Amino acid sequence: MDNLSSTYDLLGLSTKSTGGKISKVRFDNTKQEFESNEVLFATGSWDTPKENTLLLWNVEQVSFGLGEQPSLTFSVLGKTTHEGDVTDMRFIGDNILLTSSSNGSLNAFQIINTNTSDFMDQSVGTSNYQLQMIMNRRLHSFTDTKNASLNSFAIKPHSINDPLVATVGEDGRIVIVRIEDSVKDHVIEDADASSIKAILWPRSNEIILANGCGQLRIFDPRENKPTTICHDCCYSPINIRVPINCLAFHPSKVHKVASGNNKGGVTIWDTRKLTEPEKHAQPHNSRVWEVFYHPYYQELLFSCSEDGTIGAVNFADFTPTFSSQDSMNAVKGQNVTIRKIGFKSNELPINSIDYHPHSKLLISGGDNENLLYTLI
Amino acid sequence: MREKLLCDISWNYVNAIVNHIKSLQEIPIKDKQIQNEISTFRDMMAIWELCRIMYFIKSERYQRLSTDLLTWLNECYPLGEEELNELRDSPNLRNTVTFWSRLYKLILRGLFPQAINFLRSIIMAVEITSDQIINREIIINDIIQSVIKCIKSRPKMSSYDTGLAWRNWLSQCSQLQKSIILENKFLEENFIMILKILSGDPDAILAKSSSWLEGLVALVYHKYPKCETSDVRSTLGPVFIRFSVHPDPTSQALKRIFYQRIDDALSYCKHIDPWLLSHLTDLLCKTDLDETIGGKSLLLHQHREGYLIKFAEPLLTHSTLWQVGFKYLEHCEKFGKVFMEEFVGKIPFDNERKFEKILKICEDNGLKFDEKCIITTMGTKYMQIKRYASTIIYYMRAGKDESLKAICNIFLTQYVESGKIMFSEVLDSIPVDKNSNESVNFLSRYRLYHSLIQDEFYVQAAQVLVECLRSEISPKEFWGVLLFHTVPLMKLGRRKGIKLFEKIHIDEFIYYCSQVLDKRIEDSWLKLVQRMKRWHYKETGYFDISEDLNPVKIECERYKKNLEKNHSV
Repeated sequence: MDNLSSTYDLLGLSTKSTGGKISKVRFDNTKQEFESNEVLFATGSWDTPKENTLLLWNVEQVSFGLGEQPSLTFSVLGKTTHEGDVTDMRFIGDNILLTSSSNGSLNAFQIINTNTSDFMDQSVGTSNYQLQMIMNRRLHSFTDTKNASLNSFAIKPHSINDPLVATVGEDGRIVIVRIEDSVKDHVIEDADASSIKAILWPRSNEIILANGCGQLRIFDPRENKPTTICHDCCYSPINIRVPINCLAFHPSKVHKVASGNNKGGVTIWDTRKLTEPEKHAQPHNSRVWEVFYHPYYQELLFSCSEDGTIGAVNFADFTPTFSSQDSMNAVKGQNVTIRKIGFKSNELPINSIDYHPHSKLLISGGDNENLLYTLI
Repeated sequence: MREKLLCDISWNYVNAIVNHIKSLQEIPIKDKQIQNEISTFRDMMAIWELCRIMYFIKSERYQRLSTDLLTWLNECYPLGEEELNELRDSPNLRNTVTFWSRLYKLILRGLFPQAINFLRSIIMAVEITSDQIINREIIINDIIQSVIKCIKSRPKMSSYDTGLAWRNWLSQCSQLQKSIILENKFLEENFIMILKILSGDPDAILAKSSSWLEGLVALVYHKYPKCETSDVRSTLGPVFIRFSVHPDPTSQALKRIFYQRIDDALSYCKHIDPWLLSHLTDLLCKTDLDETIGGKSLLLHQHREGYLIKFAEPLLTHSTLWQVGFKYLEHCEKFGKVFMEEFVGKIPFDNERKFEKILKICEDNGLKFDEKCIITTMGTKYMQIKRYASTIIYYMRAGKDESLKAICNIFLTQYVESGKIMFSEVLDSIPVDKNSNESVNFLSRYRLYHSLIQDEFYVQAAQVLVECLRSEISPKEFWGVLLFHTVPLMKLGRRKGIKLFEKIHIDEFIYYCSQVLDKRIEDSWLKLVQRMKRWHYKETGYFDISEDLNPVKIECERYKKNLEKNHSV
């Protein structure tokens, strides 16, 4: 990673139909295909008036030799409609794609390889896969007639065989469901009086929420009240609570969490000591929509933003600076390396990013309806 | 650098057009609409590329006008296949008019490899004998080979710098032309005509061209290979004597581009496609076009914003392309903001994510008023479904002090009705400090008062209560509630000998009592007391609620006397 150059250019992939503006991209990291050059990922769209689209993609890498950049070929394998904006998405085992929707529902899609069957759905053209909805449950709403967006979901650790999913939304509730059952497992009605933007489930007895008031709240799933509330105090004046839009796990340290906020900042937290954030950087000048840690270089944090760029922040040499006037700003440190990755003619937001470590492919999608990617 | 940049940008646009044409061509069944669309986009590409050749490239380093025009002609108006189909079954190509017609076009268009293949296809295989007919064939074959050699030896562009190579080659063509004498006059005329075209004979070129475009480009290429864009005008005269230009907008636009009447050309582009008009005008404005046209004042600079706005307007109300529409307006310095203000409030949103994206447009473009309106709309949406934390957050962002006061009153009314602090969890989510909105600040202080009482921090509770009264934020009727709260504290202070209030506070309490008992708020005050009485005794165990506030006044007197007694001691 020392040779992460100052300006990677994202290569533009001009697509014919990505199904509209992309709200989520997610690799299928459930399979370890070391021998195959094929990589599966999915995209979900938003803002399409009638129905949005889920696309299942394949990207194939062909290497030309040592020192040569591999050539990438993208193709759509399957397609289905999605009611509401795709607000979150994740592949789970048994070829299931889980999505959440702005209409408050949690959906599960079974990915069926039609090559192994005689059936070919003509509506998806020449694709080899079918995405079949196997679950659609409306979990969040303000009233009986008014939906609330289901903003994010998290899966309980070590429950992958019988996934237990916690969902959060604009109605301020946490709903914990099992995919297999049709009965809601547990609902925390007033988890937050404001809208909940993101959720993590790092440990069985710990759920972390981020809300629109710049707070992190930690819950024990068995309780109805948060055990801890803290806020991002990296901005002054202190009463400016900047909404937090996204959260991410550290790959190996379960107590480390990263967040991205509305002012373009990313913050690292230690959940054992939540009185103040641990580290902070400002890679963007507008809303951060997603963050994630590099799986191997664990001080490297990627983020994507409304400003149309991807940020790569290296916290490895972070040194906190202490101001005599305001010790709360200690987290604004020196020696934080920030690199920006962007596509020069793109000014439209990038809403989602994901990384496939085996192929070293970083992929992003946003409001310009194109997939943008690079190899890192 | 600037030229290269302009060409790069132009290339991106052309690429978009080309990709769209390709995607349309891949549609298996093309109805009339699709065919029209393909035709329109081809016209757009032709106009765009001609503008690039004529206006974007100025420096000698990049300028190859004659070859660029030839490439442009062959890409945008390629030769059809009909003649080839006709020739396929022809037994005697040499004597076929269609063959020579095709060959002329290949020569005119500089498609020399194909022309050479054509010529080779009429070379007859012969054995050397004394037969007269066969000897004639050998002569014809030799002439064909000479013409081929002449074509192949045509000097490349770089050698035009000296001019010598070009003059030598012209001389060779001329000599070959003079040496061609055949019995077959048909063949003789055709070979001579080819050489005349190659030599740049205007009459020959125009006689054999099938359209004004073909004639013009061939004239530039063969007669004026080092022509510059400003010289093209002078070649147009003979072309338009021989040819008329179709009245369709594309042909008229192309003609005017050659004449360097760009304003007129753009006015024809209006009838072709609004995307073409707006984007081409915008890019042309970024070239030094005034210089190119010799300092003539151009209207396209004045029209640029109008064209861009006209193109962007339908996007602003499009369900998915509204963001792109606003990006266009950002490039309209004079009038863009006006249109943004008109349209930004009309974008529908039903979730916070989209709301934030609309808000960013307002933030980026200084649309302060619209920003506040949109935030207020969001706050009101949450107000309607009684999500007060979100409502307060958004109203605070919008600076809606009166609305926040109204929400504050809702919570205070809830307390009056039930005796319960319902807004505790709401305030947990809201950032409050001394600089916050005063209504929210009051609620926060009032909640603090109750939790201090619960935790038996009476000194601090008394302090907070005084602050709440002094702030005068709550409705006057509620001052009475705050005054009722002072009674148990004053009693406690006297009983335990703790100084919870100063004398000045007591005087203020008396003053506030008179304010609460003001006739102007009598009705609302009486109603409030009645509501409180329903729960007060049950909750607190004491009767300190009365419409005349006498319990407060009495306790104030007692507390004052107690203070004086302790002071004198």
